[in-house]
Amino acid sequence: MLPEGKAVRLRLGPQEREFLGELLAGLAALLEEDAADDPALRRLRPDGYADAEAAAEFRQLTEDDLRRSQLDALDQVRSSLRGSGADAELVLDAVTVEAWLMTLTQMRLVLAVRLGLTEDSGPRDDPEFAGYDWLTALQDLLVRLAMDG
Amino acid sequence: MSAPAVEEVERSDADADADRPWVCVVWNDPVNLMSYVTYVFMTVFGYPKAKAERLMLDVHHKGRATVSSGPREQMEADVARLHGYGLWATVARD
Repeated sequence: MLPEGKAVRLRLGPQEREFLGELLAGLAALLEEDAADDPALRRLRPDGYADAEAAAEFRQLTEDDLRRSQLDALDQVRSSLRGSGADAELVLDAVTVEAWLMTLTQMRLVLAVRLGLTEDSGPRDDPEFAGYDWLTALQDLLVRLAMDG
Repeated sequence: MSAPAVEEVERSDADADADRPWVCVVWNDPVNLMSYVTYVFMTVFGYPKAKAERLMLDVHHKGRATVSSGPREQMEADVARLHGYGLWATVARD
């Protein structure tokens, strides 16, 4: 985690903010609607055991907390975006960077399911992937800053 | 006084099973970044960067890695935390 007292400055253009806003709204809807058969939601809340019975028990014990922490992280990202004007920069403290990392992961996991991304997805000139690749680059940047302080 | 009745017996499979520690396994997925997985292992387990990277590479190349072991409750807590970070993790017997 980013050392306490340190912060990350992030500058986002209007288009990037709009893109993030749409994804956040979509993710919030997915997390709240709880359609257990949605493959994207299954990936966000995977089985905790290979055995079906143990997995169901584990899910019952942990799912509410997981949902809460996923929504918490998303809310923190939303408020950090809300705080500034259309083209202004965000200053993210250690806790908020952590929330961004978790939420970027959630968004990328959902997009990957929707896009059918696999280990073997070859050259990605499909414009559909542009947003995914942008999220990937942003996350890699943030994680390196968080890791190396 | 008769001799104490002690004899050696074969352990049943169930006994052997009970001794096997519980583990937390992380599975490879095509989404999570190598840098991020390393970061999560450092954050969740407090592992030094070198150990976190070694485990991340195991996940990446072998498809899975055991990242912690201990009592079942602890492994369930570890798996739950890793799910919070978006990693694909399961509790298993070693």
